Amino acid sequence: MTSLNSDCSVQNNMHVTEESELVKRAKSGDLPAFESLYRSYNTRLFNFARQITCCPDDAADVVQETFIKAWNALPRLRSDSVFGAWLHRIALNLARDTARKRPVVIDPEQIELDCGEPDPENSLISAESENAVYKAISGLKEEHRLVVTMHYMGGMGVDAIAEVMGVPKGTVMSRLSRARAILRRKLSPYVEER
Amino acid sequence: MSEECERIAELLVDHAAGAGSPRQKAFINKHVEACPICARELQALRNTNELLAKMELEPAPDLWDAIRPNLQPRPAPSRTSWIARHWLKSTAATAAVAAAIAAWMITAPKTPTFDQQAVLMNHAAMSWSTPFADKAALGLIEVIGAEQ
Repeated sequence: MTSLNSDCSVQNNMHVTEESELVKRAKSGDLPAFESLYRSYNTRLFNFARQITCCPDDAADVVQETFIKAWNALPRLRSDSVFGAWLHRIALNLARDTARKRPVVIDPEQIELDCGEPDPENSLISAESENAVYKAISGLKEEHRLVVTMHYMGGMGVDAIAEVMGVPKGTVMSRLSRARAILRRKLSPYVEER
Repeated sequence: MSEECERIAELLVDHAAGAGSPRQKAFINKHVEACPICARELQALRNTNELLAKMELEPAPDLWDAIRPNLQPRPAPSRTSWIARHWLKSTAATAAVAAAIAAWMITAPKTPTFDQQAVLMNHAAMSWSTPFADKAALGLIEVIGAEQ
């Protein structure tokens, strides 16, 4: 089974080389290099954190805290090429801590009230569809929600997700497959052609 | 729904995401061309993936401004400190080797001492027939010394 991103290996290699260079510079205290890394990851991390915390404000706090922690811990990062996975792991731990402090939300309808409506102005799809997708994802089990978020909103491949989650590639693939099947059912009115 | 449709339904989710071996892809594509039910399902799965891929919100544009003041400047490692660090490392290594040698010298078992008395007595016995030889005299002195 191949990953969705497997066709872009050359482009990815170039990206990894560029990123490793930025990480190296940021390690030695180069703030503009770190800002470039921030620009490259902030949206992915924000969407990732939002799916765990269920709240855009909390997600923004998680992103902020993640980059501050990353800056302080960067000199201790051994391999520059694992920066993305390492950053996601920091965000995952912070987002989980934040989510634990908030009341448990069981009913997806309630998520809207607690977290506010998604912002249609910044979205690529209609507010109605976005709301439906957001609710459908929020209703998934965490293990499915995280792989979906990292894959679709974070653009991460199976290898990188496995690295962040600390599980084998096969587990990521089966979770992704299961999550897609559930979401397809939940989103029937939006994805079935009439 | 045919038996083949049921088999294909299990593979469609991954197929819609572009996964699967070339042989499997060819098998599914051939089936889908002839089966409108599976074709609709495949399209619905592809639409789901597209919808998910579009679900991306941007964080507030001024988020970096909130992060930036919290990043403490890191002093770039200077050449002097590099030299000092390496000098310290090599000095520590030399001291460790010297300490190891000293410890070995103290604790290592000594070479068995030469049994001087036994040799002299042996010489005295061997030179009994030449009583005026130096070695006989030495042996005699030793024998007398031992008796006392």
